[in-house]
Amino acid sequence: MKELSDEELMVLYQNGDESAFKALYFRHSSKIYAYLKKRFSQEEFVKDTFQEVFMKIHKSKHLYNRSFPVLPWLFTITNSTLIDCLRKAKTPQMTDNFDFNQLQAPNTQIIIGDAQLLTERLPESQKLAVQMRYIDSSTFEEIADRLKTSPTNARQLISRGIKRLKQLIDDGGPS
Amino acid sequence: MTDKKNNEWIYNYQEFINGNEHAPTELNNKVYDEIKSLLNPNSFVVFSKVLGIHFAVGFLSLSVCHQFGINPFNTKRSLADWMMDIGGHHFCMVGCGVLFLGLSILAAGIFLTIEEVNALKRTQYLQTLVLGLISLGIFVSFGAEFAFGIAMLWLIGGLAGGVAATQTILRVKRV
Repeated sequence: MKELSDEELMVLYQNGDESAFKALYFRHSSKIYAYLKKRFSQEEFVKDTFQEVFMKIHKSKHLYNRSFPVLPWLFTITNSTLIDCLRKAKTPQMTDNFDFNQLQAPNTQIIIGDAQLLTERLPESQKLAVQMRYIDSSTFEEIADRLKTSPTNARQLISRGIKRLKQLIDDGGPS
Repeated sequence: MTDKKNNEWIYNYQEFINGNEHAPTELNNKVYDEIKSLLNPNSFVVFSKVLGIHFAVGFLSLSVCHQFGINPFNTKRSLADWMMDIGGHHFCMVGCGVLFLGLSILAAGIFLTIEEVNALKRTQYLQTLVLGLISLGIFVSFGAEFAFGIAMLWLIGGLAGGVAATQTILRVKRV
């Protein structure tokens, strides 16, 4: 079994071969355990999630496609199980050897500064509408007057502007 | 996927494949034993599932092939009559056995997992023989009358059908 690739072992495991599972387990369980351990501080939670990952691997093994490598598949299952376990758990603590209680409130001035920088990338009418609405706190009627349009259209411009801003933030922020 | 999410995935994946921390021995044993028990289901449990399916499918199959004259659906045509015309009484007995047990095990293949089919394969002769003997017992309780030699022919057919069906579902289920 030692000389077989992960993919070959996985196919044997799909067919119910115990020694193939054993080989895969001892090859990769340390990766899964280390990955979980780095993210959770509670030992019990790590153990439970680790067990869940292997149960999910077993239940989903028929879905594995032999033309793809095994490790990304294991990683995807580990991540999805991790998310499921977090949803089920009431108060899990995320870690990275980091105490979240020490976390300070974010500096809103920086966030506002970033948002202002990003608004520069919006089309002129959207930029003006968003700035008037969220920086000057103008009403929709005031914005519509300034842009010489209807209040409904002003709302749409703001809505599109916000969507575009979200997209810009997702793409990596102002830098 | 946006570049940011893509980069995040790659970063986490790199962390995953470079992770190397072994789970505590008792956790390793627990997970391994759990999967091992799923890979090697109890033969009695598998047999009880097959038996349940056989009761339903066997009963339905009586509508197309009357066994020892038992015809609960009062159907006019029976494969038994056709087999009798083709190869005589002995051929009919063997054919009925093949059909009666083979169909049930083929149907069981739909509901059994690959591990259960493997367990069935390990004890295929014993399981099929017991299934056949139980069926004969039920036929007798419903008033069927047959000689020992005839019953043996039916049982041989049943064994052949059962084993062939087990091999077939195993081939179909294997990746």
